[in-house]
Amino acid sequence: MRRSRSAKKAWRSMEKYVYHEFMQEPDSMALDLARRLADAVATGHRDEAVRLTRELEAQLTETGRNQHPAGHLPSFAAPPTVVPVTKRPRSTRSSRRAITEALAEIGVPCRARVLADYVHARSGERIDTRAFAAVRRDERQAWIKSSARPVFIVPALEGRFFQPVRGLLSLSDWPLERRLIGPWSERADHLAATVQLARQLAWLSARDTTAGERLAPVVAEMARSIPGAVDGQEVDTARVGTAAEAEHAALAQRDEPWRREAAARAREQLSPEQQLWGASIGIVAEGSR
Amino acid sequence: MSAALDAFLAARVYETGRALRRTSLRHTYLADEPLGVVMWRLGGERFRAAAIAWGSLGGPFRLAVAGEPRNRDLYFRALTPFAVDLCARVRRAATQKVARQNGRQQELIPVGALQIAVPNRATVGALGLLGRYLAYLSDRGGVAPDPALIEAGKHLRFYARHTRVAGQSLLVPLDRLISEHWATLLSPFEQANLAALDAQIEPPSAVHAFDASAAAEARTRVGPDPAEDIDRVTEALLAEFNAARGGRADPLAVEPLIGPLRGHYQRLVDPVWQLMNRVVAREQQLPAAPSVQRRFEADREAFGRHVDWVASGGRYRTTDTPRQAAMTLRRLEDAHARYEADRAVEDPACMIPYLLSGNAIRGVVASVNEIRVAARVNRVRRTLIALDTDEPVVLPAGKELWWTATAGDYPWDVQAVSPLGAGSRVTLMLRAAPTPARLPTVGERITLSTLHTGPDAYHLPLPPDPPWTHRPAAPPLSPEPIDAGDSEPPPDAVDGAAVADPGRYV
Amino acid sequence: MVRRRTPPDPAVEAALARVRGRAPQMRPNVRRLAAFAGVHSCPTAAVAFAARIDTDRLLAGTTAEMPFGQSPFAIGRGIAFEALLRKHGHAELRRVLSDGLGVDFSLAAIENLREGYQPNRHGLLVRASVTRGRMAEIVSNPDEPVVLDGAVLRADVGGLPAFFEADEMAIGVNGEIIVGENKSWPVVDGRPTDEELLGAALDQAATYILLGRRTLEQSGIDPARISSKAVLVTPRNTGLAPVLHRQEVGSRIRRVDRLLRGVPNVNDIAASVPPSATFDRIADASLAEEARLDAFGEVTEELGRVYEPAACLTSCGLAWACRRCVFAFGGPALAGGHIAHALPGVVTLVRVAQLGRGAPPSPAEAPTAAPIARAGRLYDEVLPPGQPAQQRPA
Repeated sequence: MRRSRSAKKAWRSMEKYVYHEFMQEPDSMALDLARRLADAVATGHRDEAVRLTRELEAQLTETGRNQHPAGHLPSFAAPPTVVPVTKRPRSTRSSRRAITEALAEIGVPCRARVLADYVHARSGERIDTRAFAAVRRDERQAWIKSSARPVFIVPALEGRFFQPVRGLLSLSDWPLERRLIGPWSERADHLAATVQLARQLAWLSARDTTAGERLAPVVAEMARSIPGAVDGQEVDTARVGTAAEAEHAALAQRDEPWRREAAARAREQLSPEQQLWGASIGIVAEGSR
Repeated sequence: MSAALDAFLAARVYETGRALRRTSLRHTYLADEPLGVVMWRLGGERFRAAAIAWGSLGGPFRLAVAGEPRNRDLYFRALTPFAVDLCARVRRAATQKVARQNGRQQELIPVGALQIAVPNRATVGALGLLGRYLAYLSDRGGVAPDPALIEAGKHLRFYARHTRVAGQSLLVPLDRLISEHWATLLSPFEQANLAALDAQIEPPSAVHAFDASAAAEARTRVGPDPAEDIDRVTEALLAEFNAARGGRADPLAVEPLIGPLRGHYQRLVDPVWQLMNRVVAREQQLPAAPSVQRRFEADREAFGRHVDWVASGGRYRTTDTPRQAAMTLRRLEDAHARYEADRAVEDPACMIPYLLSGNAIRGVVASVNEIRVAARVNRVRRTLIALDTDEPVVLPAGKELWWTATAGDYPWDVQAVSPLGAGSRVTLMLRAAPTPARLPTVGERITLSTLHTGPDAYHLPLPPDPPWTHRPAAPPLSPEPIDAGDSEPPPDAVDGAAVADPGRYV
Repeated sequence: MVRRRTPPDPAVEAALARVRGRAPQMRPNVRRLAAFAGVHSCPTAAVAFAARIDTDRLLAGTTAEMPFGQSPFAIGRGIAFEALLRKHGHAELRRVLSDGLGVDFSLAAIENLREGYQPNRHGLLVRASVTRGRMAEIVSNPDEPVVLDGAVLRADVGGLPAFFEADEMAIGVNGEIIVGENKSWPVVDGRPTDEELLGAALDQAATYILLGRRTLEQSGIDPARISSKAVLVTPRNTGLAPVLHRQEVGSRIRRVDRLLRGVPNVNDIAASVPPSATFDRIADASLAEEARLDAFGEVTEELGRVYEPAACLTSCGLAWACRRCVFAFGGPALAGGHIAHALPGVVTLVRVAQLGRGAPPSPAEAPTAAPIARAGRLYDEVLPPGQPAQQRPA
């Protein structure tokens, strides 16, 4: 991995700091911000570094936990290019942590398969898709036991009766709008994720060619269904981003009002717990056929 | 009224506990050693032969197992020996030719033709699809597929399409052969199972045909499509095979690992091979009807035309134009009618339905008289016969009937019908000059019917897919390759027990 | 068919539960309904359907169990095909619908009714209500195309309400509703590789259209808004890339409608089923096979059987067991429906054989007997019987 020395130093000092603050469970959100901050510092992007410092501060002081700045999706200021990839060294992580980080980095509700591909591309770690079911169960158990996790992996919810959508995962600290799934949402989210990953790929290309090489096929696959996004063998992240954004904009015109309206209804009808886990939690046993 | 005959036969089979012959002659040509072909597909995959077995019936079979048939390299490497052998046999059969007079011309047609026997009609369809796939393979990754595969594909397509011609014998689905020659207790739907048919013909002693075939249905699997339990084993073996070879497709890596899958398919093919041998040997014992040679000659002609055409790099249309379709249909219908007529005229057992329906009469010739009848210009000699029938006959005057012995010649016209004892006396006049060959003798028991086999009566079947060079103008639509999906990774197998509603995914 | 949505009569439910006993249960879906339509005139099949008995599994563990499962490769292919259509926000589905229907589906609202609902009765109720509502919306507000994936239709068949989960989708285009079916067998050169499977798929689509039209009628909407041209989405050539076909199924809709109208009302069934008739013993795996099959014979004798090989062997898991009963009795239908139809007045094959040997017929048998006797004479003349008669069935 070709990180600059100063970045490595900056990173390590950050990591220690964040870890000591929370002894029970490392705050993955904060860790993520810390890493990005370290990178920004090391590459000399001052404005970015300042912005990230503020975010990190908010995160660590807990006031920011339930409020999020609009457009929480992280942005990368680097100009888009084409990229190769390396493996990020990781100590042993639980699948849960990998999934949480992946969701945070992608920023929209995702399917298990997509998350598994992404995790593999970013870190080389393989998560069996069956492990996702176990993680979902454990998350729910952890919530019931009132475990003090800052973020839970929760299912996305459908927008009529707010029942959990099997197969779509999201994070509890996302606003309700982002966790509700309507008729345009799956496609819109896919496009948003493609935009996000294209940007990430562009950013990685300048810093970590092996990581980029691994991520490129994932982005290529996601872009395949977007007209005009992929031409030939190489992934042109600028092209992918533009095409995906264009299609996303058209869908967003329908999807966003739908999500806002659904969220408003949900806040009216559901308890805070139900707003996270869905309305069906009131039914204890599976009904008979 | 063949329903009455079918009902009678079913009742007789029920009573005796064994199947009965429907015919006294064999109406399909059978070579001494047809090429047997047995195929097992991978479940759900219409173009993937997981195993293919072939060889001259009466001898051993060769077995090709690809291992992972959805991997193009492995698949083609397995199919190539079969393709090479098939092409060689076809070429060998077409080499020797004989001259035949066709009007003023002399044409050369092959002395023989390669006959292929398969267990059932489903296999015919499977080979046809395989042929469609192979005949138009594209180059993948710049590697051209072995030309033997492409040539074999063309042969398979030709054979499969040729089965549309009634009475043909180039590609013989044995289930149809048996159903046409035997009466069983099996309904038409159940007759598609060759093992069940064979079990009713020769049940174990003291076992009724019904019980024997029910046991055979449950026990013997014929293919080409595998049942759930067969493919559960295939899945386990294939998973091990794929894990062990770790993505490699070269022979050194794959050969040592193929054993278990080969064994699996060997055990599936063995009983089918024995069944096919038994069935063919039994039918070879029945004497062939005279017209069998004539039909086989038509097959040879089509075969020769096909081989010449493939040799010159020919291309087929994939689907017929509407005009072609209409012409083909007409020829096929005529071929069917001619085949039915031949069978009934040559084989008294096949004449029974026509006797029952009143389209044929049988009786003893009571008298043969020559008379003179006024014709257009002068008086001509004609012959009148009186036929005493066993059963009452209802036929209008003027109705044309052909004597089975001269079914290719002129008809007899019904002059009068009057009751006589239990049956009738029918007076008929021959509509031609009375030569000895045309006349029955007094006391002879003869059959006359509405069926006739004269050369001008039917359009003899030309190959249903004539070479495009013989047609005017329109350029042939080149069929496209259909193998684009070969580069897709194969989907994971999913056991039915793991899914809430497996029937949904058929 | 009962139109009014009356709550199910508990007495009827109790009667059917008694009939079912411990027999395995099935949830009716459009596929099963389409198959049942083919055998609905059989009283045993009608009772089994009303009692929600899974005829595929009833005889598990006996030699009369018919093979009915699918190869894991075939199932995997089917699942992969459906997953492909849904991947990336239904990317392939949008493309194939756009290409095939000539309408742009890239901004279509695709509602996924499968994943967001519980896999139980409550979930079905909710999905059915959503389906009704959405279909009404489609018809009145044709702005953009809409797709409903996993619709559930609530319908009465024989007076018993049931939820029919559709494999298919409802596609709303320009105020018209089109029914779509996915199948994983391929289409090559514009033709499906399996004619039989095509027929089954079209029958299912026709059944779905029929149920959908009834749903619309109940909501006061013109049923003709559901098109009689169904959509079939299948792979093209090798691989799984999808292609779309449209096929007119009007005659199949009429046929299924006619057949389902003939299904006896469940109240009549419950009232007429004798108290002793239950499938419990048949399903009892602790009993010996013979006892179970004997029970089968008795129960179906009481209820009544109609065996027609072509329909039964392809639609009903009890066909082999039924076939044995028909064999024991000597019913002509054993060899095919056409044979049974050719023999009005003659009831068993044994009798046919006797008539074939020239036995004197009764007045009822006379018209049928004459050709049989003649066939027998003619056949024995050509192929004289040479083999000794073997044992006749008991």
